[in-house]
Amino acid sequence: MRPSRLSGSADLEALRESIRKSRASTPHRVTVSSGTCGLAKGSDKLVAALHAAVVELKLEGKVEIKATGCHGFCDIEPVVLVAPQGVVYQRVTAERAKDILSETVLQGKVIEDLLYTDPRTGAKARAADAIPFYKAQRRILTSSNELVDPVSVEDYLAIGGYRGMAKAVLQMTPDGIIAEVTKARLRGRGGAGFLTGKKWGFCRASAGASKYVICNADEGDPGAYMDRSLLEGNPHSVIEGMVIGAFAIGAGEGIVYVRNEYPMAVRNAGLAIQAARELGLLGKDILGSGFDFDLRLFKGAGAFVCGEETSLIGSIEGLRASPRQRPPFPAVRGLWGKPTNINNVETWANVPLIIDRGADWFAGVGTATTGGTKIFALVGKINNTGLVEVPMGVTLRHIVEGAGGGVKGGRPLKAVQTGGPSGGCLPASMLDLSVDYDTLSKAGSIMGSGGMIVMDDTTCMVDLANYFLHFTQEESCGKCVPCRLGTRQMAEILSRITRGEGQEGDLSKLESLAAAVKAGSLCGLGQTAPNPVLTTIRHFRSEYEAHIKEKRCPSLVCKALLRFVVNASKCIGCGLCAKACPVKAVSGIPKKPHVVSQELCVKCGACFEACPAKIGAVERSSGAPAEVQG
Amino acid sequence: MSEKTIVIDGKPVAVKDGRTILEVARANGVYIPSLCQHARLAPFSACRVCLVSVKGRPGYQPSCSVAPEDGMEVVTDSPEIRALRRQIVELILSEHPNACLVCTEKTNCDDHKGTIRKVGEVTGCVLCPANKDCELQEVASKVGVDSVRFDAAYRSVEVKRRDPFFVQDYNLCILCGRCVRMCGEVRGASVISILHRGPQAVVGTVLGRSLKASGCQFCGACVDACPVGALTERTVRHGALPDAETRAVCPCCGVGCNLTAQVRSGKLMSTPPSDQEPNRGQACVRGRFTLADLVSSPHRLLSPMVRREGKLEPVSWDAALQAAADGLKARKGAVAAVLSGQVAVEDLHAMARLAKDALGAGTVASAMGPSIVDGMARTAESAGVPLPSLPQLSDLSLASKVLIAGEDAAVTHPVAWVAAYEAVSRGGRLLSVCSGETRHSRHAAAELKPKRGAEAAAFFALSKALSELGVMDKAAKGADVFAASLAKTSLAEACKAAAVCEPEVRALARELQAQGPAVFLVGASLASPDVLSSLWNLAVQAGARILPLAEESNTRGLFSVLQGSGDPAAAARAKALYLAGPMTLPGDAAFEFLVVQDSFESPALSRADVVLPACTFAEAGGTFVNMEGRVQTAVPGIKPAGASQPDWWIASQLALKLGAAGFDHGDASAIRKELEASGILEAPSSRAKAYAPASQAKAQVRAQPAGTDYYRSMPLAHTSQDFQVLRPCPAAGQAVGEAGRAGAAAPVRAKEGSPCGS
Repeated sequence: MRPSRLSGSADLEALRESIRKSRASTPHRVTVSSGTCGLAKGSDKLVAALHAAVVELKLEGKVEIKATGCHGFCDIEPVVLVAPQGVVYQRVTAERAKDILSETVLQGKVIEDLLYTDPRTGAKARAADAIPFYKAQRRILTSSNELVDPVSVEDYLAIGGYRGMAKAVLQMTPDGIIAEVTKARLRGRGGAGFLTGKKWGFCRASAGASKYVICNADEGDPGAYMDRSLLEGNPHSVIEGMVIGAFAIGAGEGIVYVRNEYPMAVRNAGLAIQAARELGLLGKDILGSGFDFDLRLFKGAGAFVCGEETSLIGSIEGLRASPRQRPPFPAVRGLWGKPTNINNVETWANVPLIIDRGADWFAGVGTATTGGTKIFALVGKINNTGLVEVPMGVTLRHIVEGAGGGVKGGRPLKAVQTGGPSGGCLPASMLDLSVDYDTLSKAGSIMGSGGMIVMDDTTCMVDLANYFLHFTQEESCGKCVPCRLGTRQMAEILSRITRGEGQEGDLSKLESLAAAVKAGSLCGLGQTAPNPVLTTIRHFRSEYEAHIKEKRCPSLVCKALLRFVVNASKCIGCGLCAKACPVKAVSGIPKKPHVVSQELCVKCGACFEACPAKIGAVERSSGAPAEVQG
Repeated sequence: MSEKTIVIDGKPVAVKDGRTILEVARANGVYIPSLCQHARLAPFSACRVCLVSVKGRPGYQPSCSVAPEDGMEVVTDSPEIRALRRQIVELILSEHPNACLVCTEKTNCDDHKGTIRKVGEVTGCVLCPANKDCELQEVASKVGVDSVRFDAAYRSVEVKRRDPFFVQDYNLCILCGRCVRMCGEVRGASVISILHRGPQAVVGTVLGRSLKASGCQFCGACVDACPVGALTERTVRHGALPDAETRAVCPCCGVGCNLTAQVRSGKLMSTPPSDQEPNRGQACVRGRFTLADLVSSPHRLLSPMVRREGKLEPVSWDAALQAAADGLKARKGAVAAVLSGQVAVEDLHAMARLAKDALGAGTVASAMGPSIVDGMARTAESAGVPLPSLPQLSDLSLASKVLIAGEDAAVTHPVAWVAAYEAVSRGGRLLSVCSGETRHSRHAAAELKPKRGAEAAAFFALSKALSELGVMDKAAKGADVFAASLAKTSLAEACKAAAVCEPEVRALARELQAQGPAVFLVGASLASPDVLSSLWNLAVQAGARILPLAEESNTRGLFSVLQGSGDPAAAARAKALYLAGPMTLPGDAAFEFLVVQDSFESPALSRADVVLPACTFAEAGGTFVNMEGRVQTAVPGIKPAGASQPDWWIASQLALKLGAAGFDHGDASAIRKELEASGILEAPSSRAKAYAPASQAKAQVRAQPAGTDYYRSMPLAHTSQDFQVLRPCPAAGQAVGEAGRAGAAAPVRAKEGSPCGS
């Protein structure tokens, strides 16, 4: 049924038309978000149940059941979309499959208890645009995830896929493409924000007959997963972007370097490459243009540093993943010593849009310096956890309060961490900062690849810096001295501070170390590693000082600095706290106030948790009263 | 290279040879500290102490990896740079025990040395094996670190002592990666690697195996590259610094590595390689780790001995020489002499003259039998030309094709292998024709494994394949005869005889057909004339130069002195034998009188009538001619052990006792003059003619890149013509077996011949 290999855009458009025509005869469609997180919530069972229900209700040929990639709203997985009604159901279990078909699909009735309820207003939302999480976004990339089955090239073709590529390889010149991408002001979404068109231009200008393009899908920041969502949800968009880039640069071979911890992305990208190859969208003489380009998958070696481009190249070459000094940049000497262009998943996925819809449209979406949107992985103490795609230049407030729906439990917002372990913490006062590369780096943070962690007043900033420094310390490849040993010393000092062993002068020591690590490190990992420390010191210096001078953790997080005391006036002597204590530090006779022995206490907090909320007799405090000292 | 100028600290500096800012700065006397940089290795940019600022580039750049560009402005020293370097060195010292640097008593340390209790287990100081010989110590003092503000975070790992020759104490490792890179980049071994990440990063082997189990050859390159005390030679660990250093030439193979004999209190401690040609800082396990032990071996012969009533008894030199003279004189005319290629040319000359002039020896043989150099000379003779000048190891490292034939060169001649591997890492193609398993096999672009003894057939098959590719120098003398010989046999037949498969032969031939200078390294096991002449002809066809892998340090010197050596087996049949080489005496040797002149006890002693103890290389020095033809002079480093004397002295004294004239040499230099006068050794000024030493070879390389088409139009050697003879037959096998017996050839495992060879 499929034509073996397509040649020319007429062929491609004819195929697209025939796919659309065959789709038109199916009036109803039920879409289930089945990305990694949907799957974790049982989307596979739901899809199976829907298929079974179709048979049971004899709806074959009338309803199309589609399992797609992630829709972004992690909190309400799995999400079900019913078309043409446009109804959105949340947290759907397999048991409700038949209800959805029999009520919504057949009768057009909305199942009220499956609708999303805004926790702030209590209002129920029928359609996506009524859900604040979606409403606040501009989903030019992620919206496709709702429309395509990632392993179906037909689905991608049906939404206009490979049109940009056809235009690029059949009608445009390499220089024309580079000019278009430059004009679109697309900047690398991996974190550094370098102008993609310019980067391509360097690689194109490098001498050499064989060149490579690489897709960096080694997403490693803790809590960031936008690239996974794109690669597993819509792999063809990445492939299409890479073909365009390869054509512009003059590369004959491409590699998708995907971390092996993303099994679904590995599988879907692999299937997509195969399907594209079968249709002549990859391989020799793409679309009859005479351009040869093929792609292969490379499964990552599992280290954070593999995301650094020179390490990634080393990893593909079979070497230990450790960075090397640039210049020479990969654009001059990259994989196997050949000119190589590396962009991350999100960057590549943007390329087809630019070529298809034009640079002006794309540039119009963003700011004067950066075109397009950015996807953020919004996590932490936030009501709506998920992937948020917004135009460049919106405010942090728009993301946190608009799409994110504000801080969980209505607690005050303390800070937002952007850019993962390489990024920085921005305090609540900076919420009106516009989110783009330049503004964020001016504020001491970075855009990074798009991690965004929201923190409320129960987060200790010293503890947070400690966490990130331990992460970078462990993930440092160990090659250069400042990163290997500087981050270790910083982590040691931070640990000491959180243990209440901070000393006068620790802050200046941290700052001078941070400067040395930043200035002296070999690669981006080390050069940005001190950012979490520097920004937290800059914006939350008083918290550090409380830890160091008063041995007090204002957010009541750092265990060593906590005290658990039973308030005798509130205690009813129920004994729950004593029962919960693992080290028998709580003593007392029934019906009489209990006492926590500070000598025995290991500060696990079990008594605090055990004490019934309405009693609240176990109290947690930090900054020991004078008499307890010593 | 076009002339470039860069500005270092405000001063314009012309860039001559420097590949990096660091090298340019050093060449111009500007100090930039560095730790991970090493002249033989590619830039690594890990230690970060060489950071400088370069105008127009962000932040700081490691000067070890920035190539100088015309007009570049570099600042190597500023308060910021100094502070940064100091902090980086302090960070290194947070991981590296540093009492040697920051101890308040370090200036009067010697007064306190008596009590080592003042330092903890891994704090360094007097317990550090590299104390006072440590690059980190030097950098720290230059950078000005006198205290470390950071908490110590020592590794506290077990010191590894399970491997022979050196100790690995990774508590002292600074992860500069030099050892790892040396092992991989220079030696092509890649036995060690950096394992783990972050603070856990450490140098180690696959699965934590011992070095021995990981395929380490113990060349010691890692030890010599280590800037600190992490890798130290076991025997001299804590042995303090040498008080004298002299130049020695390694006696262990034909490469003749230049070594530095390190002496303390009159004892040879260690023999690290020196940076000169031919070995340029490299050595192998034999030269690096065994020589000091060898020189002070308990099996040294320390006193002259004479057999009395069936027992060897120590006597004075005079008595021993008299006894030897009497015994030999009585059998004059029926005396044979056996010499060794392991002693200096001066010694050989004196001994050869003794044998010929004073003893009238009928046979003067090399202990090892005809060497590969003899074989080459005979082959050249059959082609009607003198022995051509040989390529240098420096030519080898620039070759675009290197064929290793008949030898596991990485084991038998490791330093020649280093040069071959340098060619490989420059993009050269490694080709191999060896019957056994070899270490270089994994780097080979094409490989043949002919049946043992059928190497001649393999070379013949390659010639055939090359001629089928149209490669045949018709202008060469004898080309028509050779072509006719090739025409008689099909490639398939030739392949069958060599037990190799045709596609592999064709593949190797195609590699040989490619443009670029080629060098053939030929192992001693291929010394038989049949094999060498077919290899010669292949070389003529491919325009390659042949470098024979001589087995002994002075094989070429011995060849020059003897001009072809006699049969050692015939020597054993003489009535009296003057044995000055490591020959295994045949059980049926019927001599009546045996004089053994040697440094070590050997089985021959059981039949010796007189024993004359000789010095070793470290005590005697002298002139050696290595396999390239390079003439090298070693200087005695230590006093002779016991009563031992240089070979030349013994030979001269013996000759004087025999009443011969012209043996009253005062010292070795007199013999040297005699050699130069006789033309055996050229005087230094005109030496170039005979032995093509380094300076001239280099000039040759420049003028004529590594001997491109060197052999083209060289006359072809006389082969057995009829291919029938080349079929593996017992005779051919025997010949190879005999040559192979001679020594250094690697143990060859069972697998011979290609699997598809039949």
